Amino acid sequence: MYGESVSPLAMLLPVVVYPLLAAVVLGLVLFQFEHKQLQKPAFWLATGLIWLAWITAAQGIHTRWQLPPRQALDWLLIASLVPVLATRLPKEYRMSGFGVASMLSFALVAQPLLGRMSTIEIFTQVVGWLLFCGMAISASDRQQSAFRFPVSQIVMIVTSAVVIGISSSLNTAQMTGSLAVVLGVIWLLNRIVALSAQSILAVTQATMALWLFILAYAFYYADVSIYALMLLALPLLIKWTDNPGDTWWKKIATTVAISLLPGVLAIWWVWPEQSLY
Amino acid sequence: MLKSMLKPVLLSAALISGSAMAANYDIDGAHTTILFKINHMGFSETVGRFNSFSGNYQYDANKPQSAQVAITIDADSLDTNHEARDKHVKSPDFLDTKQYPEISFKSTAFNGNADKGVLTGDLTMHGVTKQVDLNVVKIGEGKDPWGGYRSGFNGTITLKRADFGIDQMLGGIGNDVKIELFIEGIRK
Repeated sequence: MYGESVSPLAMLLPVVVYPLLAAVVLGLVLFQFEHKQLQKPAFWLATGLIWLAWITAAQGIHTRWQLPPRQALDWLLIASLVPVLATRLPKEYRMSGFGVASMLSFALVAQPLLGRMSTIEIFTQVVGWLLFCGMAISASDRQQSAFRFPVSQIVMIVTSAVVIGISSSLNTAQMTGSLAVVLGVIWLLNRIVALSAQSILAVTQATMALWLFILAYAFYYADVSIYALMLLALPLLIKWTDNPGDTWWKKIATTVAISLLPGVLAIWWVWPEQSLY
Repeated sequence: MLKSMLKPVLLSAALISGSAMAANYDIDGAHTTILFKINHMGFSETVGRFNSFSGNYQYDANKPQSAQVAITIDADSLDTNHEARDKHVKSPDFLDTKQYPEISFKSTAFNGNADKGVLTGDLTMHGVTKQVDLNVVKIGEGKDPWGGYRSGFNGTITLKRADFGIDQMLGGIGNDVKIELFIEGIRK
């Protein structure tokens, strides 16, 4: 009847500890590849790293993950690799390729919903999806700062986890939050072992792809407001650059402040009228 | 002679009228409630209900073993009198109503008499189908003031939600879900 209480450590393990350890190990492997001039493995690992580290968290949160996939969440964990890898497409096809790859892979996640949608609904969702993905990937391609772009992304992910948690699903919020842990660890690791700017930008872009995929799941399955999600994603449109005269703390402070503002608005948007529990 | 001829005729008529009583009933949503109770942190029981459902049943007081019931519940109609909690329970953390919009029950057997018994059937919830036993008590039956014919039953069952893959927050929210049905049907 009334179960044993869950320890905070048991809750923290999949959300913080597993992705933290995985990101440290994979980040060091990436550093080794770069150090030994292994360009091709480093090129792919830079993006795969995010997915691999995140999956260690996701499988600890979605404990009933099964293969072959049966539920939407099973599909989410597998299909999310596709948009992550699509961020490595050659630049001339990247915008369209990323949009189409993300859409088709999410169609696997959305299978139970597709049968209940009209043709017009599916058409509008496809157009919206392609537009959104196209804007996001082209905006992330313009990024120049390997210091500020990840910080902005981490802030967006953390606020989105809060928005999703308040809106409905704590599980989806945990999965989102664990993504911030992975990128945060890579960003910190870069302060110690100095990965290349190219790898950091690729890792951040892959994080963005995975984050958008989780946001889509939150919208379709956890009923999180599309307006709140759009607000959260607004800082993606900002082009982050490093001004030579700025100190590190000034860069962090401005990036956090600018990225946090839409997130705070999104939290206000979904804040429930009643007390939560 | 006449008496001996009449006897089978009357018996047949009685059987026909009896089978006519084994009629199909549509569940009357206005007089039917599907409630559930679940333990909250060991302090209390939280009560909720489903506001939208449909179904029908066959019932014959003379042949209760032939009773059949089929109910479909709109999982998204869950109502615990707290909007934020409803959204959470309907999310992928618990019922995942976007993916599994219906909860259904279809009986397979009945053991008991005309007044009470155990209705066995397949309950499908959260994409998982399990055989369950529903304790049923008949409340009454008869003609209503509008010329129709009604019957009513109460049912109770306790499920373990983890058996249906709903295993989040077992620390704070109980595993046992007590379901109470108050059903009234109108004969077709």
